[in-house]
Amino acid sequence: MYVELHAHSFYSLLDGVPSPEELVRRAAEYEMPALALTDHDALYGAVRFAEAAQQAGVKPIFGAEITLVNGGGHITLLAENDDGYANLCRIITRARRDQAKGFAALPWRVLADYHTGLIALSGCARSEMAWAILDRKPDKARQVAERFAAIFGKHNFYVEIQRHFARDDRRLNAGLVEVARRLHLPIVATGNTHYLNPDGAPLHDILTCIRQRVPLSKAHDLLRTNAEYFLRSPQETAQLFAEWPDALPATLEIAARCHAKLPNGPQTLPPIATPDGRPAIDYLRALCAVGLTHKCDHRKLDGYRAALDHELTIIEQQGLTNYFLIVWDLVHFARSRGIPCQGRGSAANSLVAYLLGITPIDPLSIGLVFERFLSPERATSPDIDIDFQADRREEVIQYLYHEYGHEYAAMACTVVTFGARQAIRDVGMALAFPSEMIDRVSDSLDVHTTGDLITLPSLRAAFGSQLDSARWRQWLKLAGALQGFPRHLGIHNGGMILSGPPLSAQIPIEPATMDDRFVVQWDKDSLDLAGWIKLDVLGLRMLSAIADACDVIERQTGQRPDLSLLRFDDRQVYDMICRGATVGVFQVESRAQQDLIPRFQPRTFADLMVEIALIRPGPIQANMVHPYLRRRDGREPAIYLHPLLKPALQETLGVILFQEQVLKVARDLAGFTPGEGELLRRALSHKHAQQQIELFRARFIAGAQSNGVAEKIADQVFNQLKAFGGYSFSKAHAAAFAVITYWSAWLRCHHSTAFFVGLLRNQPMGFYPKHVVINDARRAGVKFLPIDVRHSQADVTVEGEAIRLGLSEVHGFGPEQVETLIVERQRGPFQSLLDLVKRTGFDRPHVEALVLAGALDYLGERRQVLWDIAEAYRLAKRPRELPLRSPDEHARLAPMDRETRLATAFAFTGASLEGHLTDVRRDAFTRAGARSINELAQLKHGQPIKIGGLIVARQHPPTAKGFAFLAVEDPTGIVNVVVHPAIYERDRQALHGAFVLIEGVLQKERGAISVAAKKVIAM
Amino acid sequence: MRLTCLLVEHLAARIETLLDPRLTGKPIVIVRGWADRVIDVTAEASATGIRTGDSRQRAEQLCPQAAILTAREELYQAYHDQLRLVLLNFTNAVETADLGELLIEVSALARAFPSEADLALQILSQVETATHLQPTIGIASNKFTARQAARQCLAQVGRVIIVPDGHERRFLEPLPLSALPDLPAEMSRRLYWFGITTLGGFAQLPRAAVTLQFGSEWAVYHDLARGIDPQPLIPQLPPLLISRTLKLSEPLRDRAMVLAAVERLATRLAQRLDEAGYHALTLALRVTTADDHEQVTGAPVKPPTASVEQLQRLADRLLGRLTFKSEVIDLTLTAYPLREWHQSARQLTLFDAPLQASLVHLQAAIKVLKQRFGEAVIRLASLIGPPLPLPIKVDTRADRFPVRLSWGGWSRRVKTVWNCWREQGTWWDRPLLRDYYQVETDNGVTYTLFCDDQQRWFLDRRRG
Repeated sequence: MYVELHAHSFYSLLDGVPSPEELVRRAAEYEMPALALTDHDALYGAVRFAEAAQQAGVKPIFGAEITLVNGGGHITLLAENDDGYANLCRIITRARRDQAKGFAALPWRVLADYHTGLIALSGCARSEMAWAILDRKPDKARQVAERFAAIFGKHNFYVEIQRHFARDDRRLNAGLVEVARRLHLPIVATGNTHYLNPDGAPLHDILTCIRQRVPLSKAHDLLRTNAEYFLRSPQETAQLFAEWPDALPATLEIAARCHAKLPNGPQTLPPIATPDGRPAIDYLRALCAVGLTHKCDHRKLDGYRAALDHELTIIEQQGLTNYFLIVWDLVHFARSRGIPCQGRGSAANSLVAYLLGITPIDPLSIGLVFERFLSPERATSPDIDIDFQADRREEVIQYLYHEYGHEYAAMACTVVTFGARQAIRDVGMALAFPSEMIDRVSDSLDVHTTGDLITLPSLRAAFGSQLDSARWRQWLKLAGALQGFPRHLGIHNGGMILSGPPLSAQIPIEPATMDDRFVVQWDKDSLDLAGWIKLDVLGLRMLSAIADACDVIERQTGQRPDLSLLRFDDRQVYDMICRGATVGVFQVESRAQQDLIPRFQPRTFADLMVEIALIRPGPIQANMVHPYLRRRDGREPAIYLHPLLKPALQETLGVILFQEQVLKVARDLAGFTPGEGELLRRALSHKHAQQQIELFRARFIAGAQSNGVAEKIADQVFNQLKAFGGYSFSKAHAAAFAVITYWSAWLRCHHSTAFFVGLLRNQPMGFYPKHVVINDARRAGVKFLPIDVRHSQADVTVEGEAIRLGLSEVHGFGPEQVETLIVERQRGPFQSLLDLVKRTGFDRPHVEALVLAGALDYLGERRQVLWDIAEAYRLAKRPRELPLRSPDEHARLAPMDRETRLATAFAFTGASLEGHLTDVRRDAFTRAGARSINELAQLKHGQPIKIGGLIVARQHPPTAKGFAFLAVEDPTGIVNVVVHPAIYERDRQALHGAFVLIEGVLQKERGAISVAAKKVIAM
Repeated sequence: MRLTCLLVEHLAARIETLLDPRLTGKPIVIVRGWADRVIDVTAEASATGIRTGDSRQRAEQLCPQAAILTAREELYQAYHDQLRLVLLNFTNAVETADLGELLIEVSALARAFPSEADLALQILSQVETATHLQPTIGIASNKFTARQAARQCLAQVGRVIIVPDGHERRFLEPLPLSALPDLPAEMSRRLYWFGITTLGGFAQLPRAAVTLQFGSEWAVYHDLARGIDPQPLIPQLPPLLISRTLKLSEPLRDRAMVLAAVERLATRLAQRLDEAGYHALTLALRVTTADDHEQVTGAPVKPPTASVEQLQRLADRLLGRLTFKSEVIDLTLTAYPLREWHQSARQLTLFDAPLQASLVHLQAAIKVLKQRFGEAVIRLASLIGPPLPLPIKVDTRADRFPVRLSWGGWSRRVKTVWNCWREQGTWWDRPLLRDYYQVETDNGVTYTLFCDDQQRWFLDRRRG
């Protein structure tokens, strides 16, 4: 028998091939009673490993291969017990501290402080002991062994021998065993596995090349010499180590000793100081009582009190009192600093969250279900997601670090995995494919592309038989295999972990790339799986845009609008939305929303909630959108598959629109408790929970039958729920978002200049690029002024009634250049190019960028100014030379034509005020017979048409059965274009270009205009 | 000055297509074998992004459907020489601009033809007859314009473009800036922003302004754009002939004595040829007798050489053709035309053959080199690479451990296997799998052997 005690998963980040689950599965096949996961300086995969091991009946052993400083090499550590696990976390945290991202180095002396509960193995061929043996320095090897034996104790330090048929294996093992025998240390056999089978070696080589950023042909010694680093069966291992009979039993002995467990949540949260030291629950109750007085309808106070008591009881039972107080404190801090924020997501189901000011919506007033947020039956912990003004979110994060300390607060990590495009890029680099070819292949893939790349129609269409050549097949096969592998670590959007006891004894912490940011080594899924509570501190650019717009209004009018006082009933706002003037308006500006609005015609806040919730994968995939619209218009009656469904679905006319309705349907039809309903909803939304869903189906049908519902009907309803299972909004979330939708729409409607200033200051954001926002603003009557070094500020500003574009829009201009320019300008205007060059000290590319952006147009014609740059730099170097030139030293250049000015300004600022970018193709569009987009409203449904324009948005969602959707803009407007899958494949190249001529058929349905493309031609 | 540029673009690929018509229309990539680098690509292959200098791997990646051929450089050189020889029929001054691209000065030559066009057609005709290749010709007053004219033939109808004197600038006007050889990227970038995309647009700028903008060094490109290229023709001019004359102090009647004198003359000629680095293509003997009668005879030297023995033998044969009625007073031996010796040099292939044959080849090569350049020319510099594995026979046990080694009639029993290991790699290109064994034979010598994935055994001579 044998237990593998040294195995790397793909969480060794680019140094391992198998997933933790695959390792466990193979170990189970080999009937290993236990398995150790020893990724490099990390426990990224520990939770997945533990979960898989538990399911497979294999005992998980948590460990890591630790990198020691100053050429100390590797040492393998295994957690024997919970103390050992905590020490392992501390050691990894210490090894990662002060190191660059992705690196670790631990001074060996630190091991002495944290050795308790750990079993140490001497390490692989890259360990200090091995190096000493290979350097023919047995005395040094002995000293190293003695040192580690002294730290860990003789019974906790094993000399690790491995057999990979490497050239020096035999000598190394002989030397190691010799040292062990002399010092009476036990030996142990390990595999140091990096892949499951020998055929995983090429992928491992590729990962090595990606990690080292070298092509295979230049990797040389970076690659392992053979393909022997795979997980071997006990029988095979026994043969390999036959000459050391004690090496294999030692693996079993160690496995038997190890019984460490992961710290499952919910974690103990940090205590929060309460007035007079009163119990936290009392303080929370008191805070809620204040909210109750100020925020609730006094006529319904009893109902609110009952709901509050119910919530507080559950909160206390679940040990979440501190959690609510922490979030309240955070929101309180943000508001005190003038940082707009509000809770979103399922937290809006909570009356407590509303009363504490965390969420903006009274859950009782719109019938929200608290159990959707929190219930005793829930298997996972609740999250509270809070949006903060994006550009000030860092203040909030640093507040948490400051308030609780780096030892107790950290962000969740995100394991960034290879998508098809990244895999193509990285494997192509490793195989030394030309970069331009890599770009072409990558561009032929969609963001959502998965699976076998060799048979991918889009690649076949673009590259034909090239795909069948050996080199290409190799490339695509390896890239396909790499999809889903972790590539590197990132920071989660906003997931913050807080803990009462130090985090570093529970989950290793490592510094992130950003200064003063630290992440735990578990990602969101691992934290969820382990039951840890997190707090999502999210940045929302729209809140920043709104804050900026309010600043502008305040500066213009002297009065800052208080958006929280708006009553959501302004007719002009809804009129504007119904006209489709929604570019920049939160959540309702997208191509799909633009298509929905004319048919939906929202008139109330509730309508906004529905409108936001409708355009989500869940309702779309469940085919809920069109029935809802027909029923809303009275063209079809609301149909309920069973009368019991009416209470749950009446508000949405018989269709399932919100997540909460899954819970209500399950409750009303099948008798599920709210907690069970939540478990059902989670299972439905999980891609890999088919087995679990089928268990729920049986339970659902049985429950429904007991309520007198026919099996067929119950089955139909369950199928509807299943179809709805994709991503969808909870009603609470939709309500929270609808508030921001209304605010942004109100600003656009009543303060359009300020609104667009806010939007442009916070680009990129939303659905459209900057130039589309500017074009739309201009169509809405907002005036713009170009970038000008005499007048522009760093950012977009208001000048009179117009918006002046800012200097930071110029490509290559960072804060340093902008500041130099503004400071120098304050000393006096730039009289000439020479003056500007001398005073700013800018290098030539920066000055060129200013000229091409049009910011120096006041100095003369652009080409002439460009020509004069050389002279300006020459004179700047020789200040005594007079700028006198004979006539034949002057070049007379043809002035830049309008199209070129437009294109260059666009290239250097991302926008142009001289016209619409399609003006550069206007003649071609006219010759081709293209119509203006604003003409389409006058044409008839079904009429063949041609339109020419710029693709400003392109979507090819995986849920759309191959259909692609474009937003095409010309100077007169934007129109949606629907592209059939066959046409998408045929005209793919054109669809990925910028300018297109679209031949198609006009589609008009109740005010919604779109074009069904028949042919897409690149222009 | 009038210059003619004779151009066979993509000469190597054109020759390959000529020799194998099935390649016609296919993308062709010619790779120099030993360096694995692309030396020529057809337009079809070039369209996929392959450029000369790329690696074979890159070419295969960019254009898997291309015919990737190993360069036959001697063959291409031979064709190039043919082109040159054709031009040598017209003039002695031929400059090689590139493989398949040659320049000659035709100011005087053109007077012998009704027009420059007739001269060009005559050259084309002779080239086609000699090589079956279809070149293009550009004639202009300077090199740059003539070379561009030859290139433009590919884009225009006809295979000859003649740019009259004074029309260079107008001819060049529509050409893109990329026609300028090695135009610096920075200059190209600035010109783009100035709205200048053609040589004509560039030429319109005042010279002084260009110098101020780009510096005098880069202003040369402006001259080219204006059709000014002061570079002279730099022909590789082999001397027309090398001759040696022997004026006899005493007239000779005895044929044996004359023969000895001719051989002495041949020795002197051979020495001179050797010093100058030429081989004779033809040898001519002129004999003047006392009655003022002069006889001349000649024969091709096959293969071309500067060897004393061969020239003596040929001179003997030439003398044998002549009869004398009176005493010989003057002998002249002339070698013409001449060509550089390296053009007839032959590269010996040493490492493709079995070891024994390689050694024989190497010894022969060393002998030739010593003969040609003297004893001191051969030195042991350094090994140019690891010695190749030596195929051997190995008897093994059931577990594949070696028990006996044999090669070259030599056989030894394996006493001990000290180590064994496995090496795998280069799976992405040429997969390699070797199981190594370090063994000691019964005579106490340690060897490193390996067995490859096809169960062939080799002695690894890198490791002893």
